[in-house]
Order: sequence, then C-alpha cells, then structure tokens
Amino acid sequence: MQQRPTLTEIDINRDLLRPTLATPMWFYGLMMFLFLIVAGALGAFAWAINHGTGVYGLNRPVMWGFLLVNFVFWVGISHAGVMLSAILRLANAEWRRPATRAAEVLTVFALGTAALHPLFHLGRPWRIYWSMPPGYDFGRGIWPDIRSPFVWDPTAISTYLTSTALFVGLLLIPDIAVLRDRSSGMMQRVYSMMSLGWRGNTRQWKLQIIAGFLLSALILPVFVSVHSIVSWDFAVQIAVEGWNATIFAPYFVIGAVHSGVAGVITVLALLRWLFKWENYIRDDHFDALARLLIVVAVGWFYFFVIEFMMGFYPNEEPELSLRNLQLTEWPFNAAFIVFALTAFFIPVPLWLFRKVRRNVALMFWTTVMVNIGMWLERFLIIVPSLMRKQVLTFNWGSYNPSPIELILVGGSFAMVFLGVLTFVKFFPIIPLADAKEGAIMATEIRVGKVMVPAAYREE
Amino acid sequence: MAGRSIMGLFKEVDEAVEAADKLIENGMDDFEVLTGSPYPEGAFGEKVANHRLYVWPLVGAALGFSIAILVTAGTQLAYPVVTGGKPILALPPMFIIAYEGTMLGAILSTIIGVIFESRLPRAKMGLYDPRITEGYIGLVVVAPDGEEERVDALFKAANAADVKLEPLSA
Amino acid sequence: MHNGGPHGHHVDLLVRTSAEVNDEVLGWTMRTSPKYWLLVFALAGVTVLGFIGFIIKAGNDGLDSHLPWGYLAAGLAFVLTTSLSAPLVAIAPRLAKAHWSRPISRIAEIWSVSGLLVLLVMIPLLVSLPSADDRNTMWFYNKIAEGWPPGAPHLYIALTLIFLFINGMGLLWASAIPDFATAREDASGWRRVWYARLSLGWVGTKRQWRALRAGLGVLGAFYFMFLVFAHTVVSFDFSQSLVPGQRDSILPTWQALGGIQSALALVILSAFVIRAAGGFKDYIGVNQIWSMAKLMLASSLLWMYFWWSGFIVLWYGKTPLQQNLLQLMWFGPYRTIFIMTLIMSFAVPLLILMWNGARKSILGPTIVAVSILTGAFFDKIRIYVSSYSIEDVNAHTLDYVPAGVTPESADIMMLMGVVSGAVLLFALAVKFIPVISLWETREGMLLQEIRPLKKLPLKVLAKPE
Repeated sequence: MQQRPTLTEIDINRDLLRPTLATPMWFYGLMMFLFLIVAGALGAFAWAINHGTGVYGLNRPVMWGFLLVNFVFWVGISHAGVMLSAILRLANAEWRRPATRAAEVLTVFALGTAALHPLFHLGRPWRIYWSMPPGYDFGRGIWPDIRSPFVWDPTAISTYLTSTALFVGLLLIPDIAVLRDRSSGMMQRVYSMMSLGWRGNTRQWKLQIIAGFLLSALILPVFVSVHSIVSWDFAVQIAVEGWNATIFAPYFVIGAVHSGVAGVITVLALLRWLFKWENYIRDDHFDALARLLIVVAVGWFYFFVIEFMMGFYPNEEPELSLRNLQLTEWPFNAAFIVFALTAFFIPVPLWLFRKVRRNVALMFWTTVMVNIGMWLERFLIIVPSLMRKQVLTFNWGSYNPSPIELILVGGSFAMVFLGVLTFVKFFPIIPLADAKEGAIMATEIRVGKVMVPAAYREE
Repeated sequence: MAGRSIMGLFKEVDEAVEAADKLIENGMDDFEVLTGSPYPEGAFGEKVANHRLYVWPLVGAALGFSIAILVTAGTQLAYPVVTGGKPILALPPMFIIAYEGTMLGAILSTIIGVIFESRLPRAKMGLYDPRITEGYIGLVVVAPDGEEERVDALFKAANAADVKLEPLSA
Repeated sequence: MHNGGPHGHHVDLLVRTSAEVNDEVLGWTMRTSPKYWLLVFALAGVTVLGFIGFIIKAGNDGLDSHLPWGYLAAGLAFVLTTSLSAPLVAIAPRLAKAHWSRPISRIAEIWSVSGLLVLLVMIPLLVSLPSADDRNTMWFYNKIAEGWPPGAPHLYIALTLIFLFINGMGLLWASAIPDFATAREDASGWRRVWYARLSLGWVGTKRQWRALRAGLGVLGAFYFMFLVFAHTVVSFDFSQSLVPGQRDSILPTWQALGGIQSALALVILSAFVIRAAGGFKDYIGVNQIWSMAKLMLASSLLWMYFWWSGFIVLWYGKTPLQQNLLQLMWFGPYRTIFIMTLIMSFAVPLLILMWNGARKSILGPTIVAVSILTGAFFDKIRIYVSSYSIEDVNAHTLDYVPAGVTPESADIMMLMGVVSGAVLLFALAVKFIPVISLWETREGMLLQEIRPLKKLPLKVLAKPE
C-alpha cells in the first residue's frame, strides 16, 4: 500500500499553480506549434469558403464524411467529460478530486470545436445564426422547422456549452481568489475582478459545495440529451437503413462515455507528465478510473452487439448489404478490425490487471487506442451507411476524404489541445479547493495493526 | 449599535478553533470564518448559513419551459408548413426543445442563485488577508462598541499571527 | 444510534459488539412465530391457486399455441425483472467498495431463490413457444446454415435461465458461508447439521477470506452479465420475435435497465418489511434506504429516457409498420395500462424523490418502491400480452393491430400465483439464511467510526485498497 503524502495549502498552491505563475518556456513553444496547426486549418476552411463546399470529398450519396465523423467524435469526448465529473461528484467518490476540472475543461473545448463542424458544411457559414433562436430570420418571416432534428441539435449543444462553461467558471471562483492573492500587476486586477470579491467565508464555501452537487445533477440530464439528439440526427430518418434504430440514443451516449472517460485519462496522464503532479494525479486515481472504464466499456459493448445484431435480425437485403460492406470490403473491413481491437478487445482485457491500471504509460496508450477505435466506430456508422443508402445498386456510391477535410480533422485535435493549454496557462486545471478539501478530509482508521486510509464523510 | 469588525488571523487550525471557542464563551457567537479550504460547515462551531438556493432551479425551470413552448409554438404557427406528414404543433419535437429550455433555465438561474446566495459579487471585500489562501484562518467578528481591545486581546491570547481592525469609515 | 451534533447533524452508525450482532440476527432467523407460519400458509395457498389456474388454462387451451399464454409470460418477465434482478443491489456496491449496502446485501441476494419459480414457469412457455422455422429470432436459426444452431430458441432460453439460477444460488451460498459457520455454533438439531454442511468447515483463515472475496467478485460479475443476457433473451424470444417487423433494438436494453430499477424498488420494500418485522432499525437505517433511493431516482429517469429514445424514432419514421407498432405496443388497446406505467414508473418516482426530504427518509422511498413495482408489473403485461396476441408470427411485417387481450380468471390466478410463489420462496429462505450479512456487518463496524473534525462529529469511512 502506497503512503499518501500529506500536503499543506502552501504545497498545493505552489504545485498546482506552477503552470500559471511560473510557466516553463517549453510551454510557449508547444502552444506556438499547436497554434500554427490551427492557423493552417483555418486557412483550409477559408479555402473551402472561397471555393465552395465542393473542395470536400463529399458526393452523392455520401454527403456526410470525415467532418461529420469528427463532429460526432468531439461531441462524444465532450460528453464523458462532464458525466465523469458529475457522476463522481454525486457519488461522493474521493478519487474524483483531481479529475473533475480537467474533465469539464476538456468538455468545453471539445464541444466548442465540435460546434464548428456543422459550420464547415454550410455554403454560407455566416448564416449559421438562422438555426438559433436569437438569430431567426425575422425580416423575411422565415422560421425554423422545429420538427427537424437539425434544430434540436444546435439547441441542445448551445444549452450544454453554456451550462458547462458557466459551471466551470462558477467553481473556479475560489481558485481565482488564490491567484488574485498570488499575482501582481494587470493579471492581479483581472483575477480580482473575476473572483468577484471572494473571501472564503462559511456561506461562500457552503454554496460552492452545494453548487457542485446541484449543478452536476442538473447538467447530467442535459449531457444525456445532447448526444441522444446528435444520434437522432441519424436515427429518426427512415431513408438510411443502418441508422433507423431505436437503440441509437443510449448507444451513442454510452459510446461517448467510453471515449470521453478514455480522453480524460489521456489528458490526466499528459498533465502528470508535463507538470510532475505525481502527488495529485496518483496511481490509485488511474486505477479507479480504469475500473470505471471497464464497466463502461463492457456496457458499451453490449449496446454495440445488440445494435449490430439487429442489422442481421430482420434479414433484409439493404441492411445485409451494409453489414457486408462493413465487414468484408476493403478498406472498411480493415477499419472494422482495427476498431474492434482498439476500442474493446485489446484495452479492456489489459485493464483487468492491476499492474496495467496503475501504469501511467500503459493507461495513456490504451486510452489513446480507445479513441482511435471510437473515431473509427463513428466512421463505420456514418459513411458505409450512406454508401448503401439506396436500395438499387446503381445508386451506391463511394467516398474519399479530400486533403482539406484531413487538414480540418487534424486541426481540430490541435485546437482542443490548444484550448486546454490556454486554460492551463491562466487557471488551475486541478481544482485547488478540491485538493485542499481532500487533504482536510483524509484520515485513517486503525484496524488491528494496520492503518487503513479513510475519509471524513458529510451526510 | 454599529461596532467595528475585527479579524484575527491564525496560522494553525487548532488556534482558530480555540479562539472561536473563546468568542462563543464571551457571547460573540456571530463570527465569520475565512478559510482557504472548504472546511465542513460547523468545524469551527460557527453558525449555520441559511440559504434558499433550492427555489432558484425551480423558478428557472418553469421560466425556461414556458419560453421554449412559446418559441416553438410561435415559430410553427408563424410559418405553418407541413413536413413529413406531422402536425404543425407536433408535441414530441416541441417537448425536446422545451426540455432543453427547461434545463437551460434551471441551470442559468441556479448559477445566478449561487452567486446571489454567496453574497457576491462584492466591490469592497472587507477585512481580508492574502495569507488566508495559504492556509491561515481568519476569524471576523463585529466587536461591540468599545470592546475592540478585549477581542484583540482574546485573539492574541489564542496566538493570532495578526489582528486587523476595520478602518473607521470617513 | 444517533449522535446529535451541535448543528443538528445526525450521524448514523451501528454500535454493537460482534456477539450482539450474532444474537440479534441469528435469533430472528431461527425463531418462527405463528404469525410467520400463517403468512407462509397464505402465500402457499395463493401459489397453489396459481397452479390450479394453470391446470384450468392448460386444460381449456392446451400448450400447442403460444396465443393463450401472454399473461404467464408477463409473470415470468416480472419475476425476472424484480426478484432475479435484486442481487444486483448487493453486487454493484460491493464491487464499488461502498459501506452502506452491507446490512441489505443479504436481503438482495436471497431473492435469487425465486429463480426456482422462473424455471418452473419457463416449462409451459417453452412448450408453447413457436419454433424458429421461417421466422426471425435472435438465434438466426436457419439463417446461418440449415438448422443451425440446433435447438434454437428453446434450448438457449432454458440454458440461460438455468445458468442464471445456478449462478444466483452460488452467489448466495458463497456470501453466506462465513455466516453459516457462525450459525453452526449457535444452532441445534437439523439447523446445526445443515449449517455445518453448508459452511464447509469454514474457520476464517486469511486464505479463506481472500478466496471468498475473489469468489464473490467473480460470481457477482458473472451474475450481472447473465442477468443482462437473460433479459435480452426473454425480451427477444417472448416478445420481439413474436411480432413480425418489430425491430425495436432498444427493447432488451430497456428491459435490463427496468430490471435495475425494479430491483432497487424490491430491495427497498423488502428491507422495509424485514426492518419492521425483525426490529432491525439500528441495522437498516436512513443511510441504506437513501443510498438506494438516489439510484432508484436515477434509474427511473433513465427508464423514461430509454422509452422516449425508442418512441421518438418510431414516431418520427411514420411508416405503416412503425405506426402499427406504436398502436400495438403503446397507444392502441393497451393505452390505459401504458399510461399507468408511465405514471407509476416515472412520474411518481420523479415527483417524490426529487425532494431531499423525501429521498432521505424511510417512508418516501418505500412508497415509491411500491409504485415502481406496480408500474413494472403493468409494463410486463403490456409488452408480453400484446406480443403474444399476434397470430401469424411468420409474416414479414405487422399489417394489422390485434385487439387487446383481457385476462381470464385463470390468467389472474396464475399471475397471483407467480408473485406469491416468489415471495413464498423468499419468506422461507429468510428463516434459514441469516437475513443480515453478519460478516459484512462486522467488517463494516471495523471500517467506520464517528470522529469529530474539530467541532463537528462526522462519519469516517475507511477504504482498504
């Protein structure tokens, strides 16, 4: 059993504010590098606006390709972020402490990035406001058709984005107060303003704690609805056989949780390496997260099997031709094998071993693997289904991603990481208040000759 | 009776607890504890802070739901085109948007509620010390008129690192 | 015991010596009052009535066709959903190393004895189930190759339920071995003989404890998987595949989730009864009921969400088949019963349990539990009776909506018999197996204590790694 370090508030401030108050030089280099990639992607987008959406590899009948796959992928990542922080908060799990804010911040930036993707598909992206309530085209009396899932989708995503961003901001207040007390000059004035005059009295702390629980409970139902609505973009239409399945909503949600929890573990591993936070992001945190991930992965796999089996069950030609394409035709068969191995069959058996769960490098690589698999999963759902959309074979089509799409997909990854790093530059990514509370609440119970780690629990 | 606020700053938690005990003994149980960590309420024997936060999400939810129903019904009636053989006022899609509206209303008003019930934002912070976010504990109490000295002595007897008196307002 | 803190904080913690725990729990287990026997005879009477109902029905309609047996299928699904799912309430918190579930985990596990009843009810249902020839089943009989896999679907339904029962009994036995060893020292007569046999000479060495823990983990994980699989099989073979064109892929997962919801309700209700009957107020307190109530609220919300996820797809698609399915399952002949389910399985839990005060009480969650169990009962009737009312199971699509099937008196007798049979098995088992896990309670007392954090008394929970 590993001895847990005792940390004072001074230690916690010094360690967790290091990236903010004493930013290392390599940090700026990394940010510059990511910024260049993002700039390249913006250039590609500008090119697409200038030349029209014909620069993408989309064509009949595959009108949704890599960009839509990437959209679903990032919405997925954003999902598990908050679900992790909310569920663990509600369950009062001690090991949530270092993971919550990283999960929420990943959510905000992943969701923001995802929200850009529908924009890529618009010939006139500046008219995106037509789909949202404040921007309806009042002048011409044209109103959105709320019977379309494409109106449900921006409503849900904007609700979720607003809620999580504000949630993160609200729970940041006490940590910003710490920064206010430790910084100087202009940043001190900015932090002062953002901390709203926080003093840390009993009432303020009490409401912070309640806010954490209450807002978690309120955001969870939103989180579930968002990926469900994304799935209904696909599932409610009857034209594409592979999509018209009632299981889609929970199947997408649990898939999102699978990829998102994996994403959070990836980020935590990176943070631990970059900022040497071994005392905060401990091996037992990885252990607990990995055990959660086993449960999620098995649950997801159950949904996957049911969904996949249901393709064969009616024994009808259109569905069978789709499954045939997914399973036997190059390159989809290769994608399918890689997907099955990386999303489930390699990582999950590995996580059954305690040694693997407590090995940060292995956890990093297995969770990266899961997300490769989950990206391919979305690809296999979206693109082959469209290729076999029509009943008649002469209407079948194919799809090749264009370089512009590849650049945009790559850029989206750089964008999310850049966002997270920017946050890390200005705010603590591990909640100081949570770490300090954990230090106060940690204690031990003597059982015979051993001291068993324990925690005070408020009920 | 106005009285002036006075703050004792303690390096150790036990010193602060001892000082808080003394304040209660002297009939000044209405003190404020400033900490850099969320101690569970009552750890210093302080009074419970009451709040009405639970009303906020309910009000917000009701408001959000109503607005969403109005917007969805209004836009459909204003531009009545039948799509997919569905009724103009189709309840399931309206419900989906109303659901998001309800949750958004509840969350926004909860966030405002938390800030309001925390009595934030405040332009003047009152007695404070940056060392509080480093683990020091601040005890703030409104000393009855003319008793500042006694409170000051009480804090110092409990080994306060510092005692601050609210400046007299001009 | 209540320790009043200065701020009205009440901290629940069991304060007993091990000997007191043994005396109280074993005393109740081994003592049978006349009232108890009255209850047992009443339950046995109703169970026999159910059997008579079955004889009447079989005599009138025979077992050649599945059409008359919808209500019996609903009865099987109801027991599977409630009492066979109940052990999950012991398994999941144990895997999560939670302390609150210790006093109720045995109650949850004992419900697995009702699997015996499921196996009995399964026999006539299997006999009357149409063969898989020329129709879709999840076993793809005749699809993969001629006549493969053999025996589908009957053989696999039987195997699934038999394995589930064996697994459940294994789990119950394994978790009770240390308690049988304790009971063996106290008991006399036939009890002593049986406790000694069942405890396998347990003495509690380090090695035995380690094996027990590993065994409980594995058996629990397998029970979870078998149960989900059983839900999938039963909802597919006794409902989905009997309705041509029905491909509501969410159904099995929705039924498995409903199982978790009803399991929590059943454990809350039975813990409430055991608490009152055995005077276990200090063992089963607000903390236990509250912890389950939170999960029950979450599962009720999810229950509604799963229903909605299926509904919106069928409603939006609006093909003739989808409209017929909506009529058959929800808005046609079974509309009233469906609305009752919505109210009892979703609205009542939400409206009561959303309040802190109601959630954190004994009575609030118990009332909700009764509501959820009733809702689940209606739900099973709606799903299985409607599916069993389709005559032409070999058709390719559902082009008509059959009329609703009202229960005959024999159906009502059978349903009553199934429910009281499950309760009877439980009632018999609680007087043999210690109804509160002695060893988990003892361990819980070692790992929890009340200790002040400065001025505030709080509970301290230890988590061994």
